[in-house]
This record gives sequence, structure tokens and C-alpha cells, in this order.
Amino acid sequence: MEDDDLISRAVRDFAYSEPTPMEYAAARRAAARAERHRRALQWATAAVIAVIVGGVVAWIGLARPPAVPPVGPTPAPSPTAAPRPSESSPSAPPIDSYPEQSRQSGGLPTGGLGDTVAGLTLIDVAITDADCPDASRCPGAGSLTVKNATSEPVSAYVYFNVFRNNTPAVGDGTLVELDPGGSTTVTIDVQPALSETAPLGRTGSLYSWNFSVEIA
Amino acid sequence: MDEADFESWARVHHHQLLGIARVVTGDPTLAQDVLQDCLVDMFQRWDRISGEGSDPLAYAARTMGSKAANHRRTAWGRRVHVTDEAGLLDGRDADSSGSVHDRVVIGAALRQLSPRQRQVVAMHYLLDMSVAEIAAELRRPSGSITSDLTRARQRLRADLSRGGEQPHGG
Repeated sequence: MEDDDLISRAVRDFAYSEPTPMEYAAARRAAARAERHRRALQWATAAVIAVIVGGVVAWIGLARPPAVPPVGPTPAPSPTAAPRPSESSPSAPPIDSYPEQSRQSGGLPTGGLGDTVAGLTLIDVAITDADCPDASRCPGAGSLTVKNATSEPVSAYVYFNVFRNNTPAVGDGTLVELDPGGSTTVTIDVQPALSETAPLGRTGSLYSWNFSVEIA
Repeated sequence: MDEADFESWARVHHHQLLGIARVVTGDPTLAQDVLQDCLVDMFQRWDRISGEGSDPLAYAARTMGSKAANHRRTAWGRRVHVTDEAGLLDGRDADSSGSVHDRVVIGAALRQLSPRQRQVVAMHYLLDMSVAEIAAELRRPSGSITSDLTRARQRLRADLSRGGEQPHGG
């Protein structure tokens, strides 16, 4: 009870006495200290948020697969030959054959790996894949190695054609000029044209390809 | 609204109101701001506050508690710059009687309390309100008022006894 009286007197004295400059200064000093603590807390909070955001961004960046991973030569069986085993990894796009029923229009002859079309033999192919809006992997570009199988110089456009669910999607070509027996590799990009034609929201499209030749 | 009635009441109780504000804030400068905010608030509600059965001083203490908490929250973005042009911070103006020293000690102790504890201390020691009356005014359980008051007393008692051991004056 004596303590309570002491506290009561002290509180009343603090409340009702005219504050001196020393009391004002003590209060200002406490306010400044509190402000410093608040500022330190602000900086600490900002630093923690920055670290979390940086970590999340880094995690997203690492977790995302590369946009265009290389895919090894994809065997494309000719219409008459048995399919060759795929050399690509299990995650490779489902580019496993070219559909006979989906020949390009315009009368161009077409073929797959090992086929000779208009005097040019496709001796190697490498297809890179990319993301498509239909949530599947789809071809990004095709690197076609063709050899002049004739005894004459050949000047022709080599086309790389891509089909989605056995329906022509995109195709593009480039000019090659080859002496007899000569070979060359051309890379033909089908993106972003292929992505732009992909149906949104659908999954599980089957992609296939062939090559065609148009004499220049 | 009876404006003259409010002005008269505020003039008569100004000293007491300022004292409550000092204890509720623990800061003589902030107390003046909080008192002004409180008076504006009370002026707008004077008809209800001054009605029968109500205690305007208790209402003022309750309002000052929330105003002080608001000041504390809005102080987040403020920048306080302490200067010592007058040489105040080293205590050169300290008196020799020791009463100023005691007030500095109790002020520092009050600032260590939570706003709710300071509010309860002000109502109990300055307005002589019982725990039950404070609980009714603040619409809080009596147990929490008792708890706040006990903790506040412990803190103030400890700081006062520590401060009393220091030599007074400068």
C-alpha cells in the first residue's frame, strides 16, 4: 500500500507539474530512439522481403526447363520402311513419324529420313523442341542434312513441314544449291508460327513432320 | 449542442485533462496533440458525453488512449531529429531538488508501458477509478484491467526504486 502511495504521488507529480526542458528532452530522446528502432525494423523487413522474392525468382528460374533443349536426330521411317527406334530422350516431343496421309498440297513430293525426293536425300535430321500453348512440347526448328544423289547440280528449296494430329500446321523452306554428291545442312525455324496456330487449353497434341523439295 | 457548456467544462478541467494526456502518452509534447484531438472528438459528441450518468473525464481518458495509439501508428513515417542546441540532453538544467529527476524517471517508466497500461494507470491514479469502473468504461474484462494495473505497478515500482538510488540533481 505504501508502494501504491508512492506510485500515486509520482504519477500525479508527473501529470500535473509543469514539464521542464529536461523532461521534454528525455521524451524527445525516447521518441528518437523509438524512431531509430522503427527504421531498423523497416529495413530489416524490406531485406527479408527482398531475400524471399529473390529466392522465389531464382527457384522459378531454375525449375523452368530450357526453352529450346536440343533433341537428337529423330528417325523418320519412310512409308515403306519399319520405324527406327527413337534416339531422343523420353521427354522428347512426340515426333516419331511423318504421316503419309498428310502430304503437303501443291503436288510436292515428300519423304522422311533416308528418303530421296527430287534428287535430294535426307541423310540426317535434328529437331529442337519448344513450348506450345497446348501444354505440350512441339517442334522449334529442324536441321536437315541433304545430299545431292544425282549426277547433276541441283538448285532447290528444301521444306521442313510440321503436322499437328496429322493435319498440316506449318512449313517453311530454304534454297540449297548442291553439286553432284555434295551435301549441306539447313536449319528451318517453325516458331513462333507453330505456337501461334496451337489450340489453347488443349493437351496431348501429336506432332509429326516430313520434308519436301521444290526445284528452283 | 451547448457550445458554451463544453467550453466552460474544457476550461475548468484543462489542467486535469493535460495531466491525463501526459500519463497516457508519457510524452509532454505528444500530450498536447493528443489532448487537442480528444477535445475535438468530445466537442462533436458533447451532447451524449455530458448526459446523465456519464463521466466526461473518464470518456476523455478512454479517447486519449486510442488517440495516443493512433499517434504512435502514424509516427511510423515521421522523422525525428534530435538536436542539442540548448544543451538539454546532458541534464545541465537539472534542478537540485530531485523532483525533476523523479519526473524524468517516472516519465521514462511510463513510456516503457504499453498504451493500454498507461491508460489504466491514468484512470486509476488520476481519476481515482476502481478496476470495475475502468473495466466498464473501457468495455474490457476486469481481469485484464487488473492484470494491466499489476504489471504497470511492478514496472513503475522497479523503475522508481532504481531511480531513487541515483543521486539527484546535477
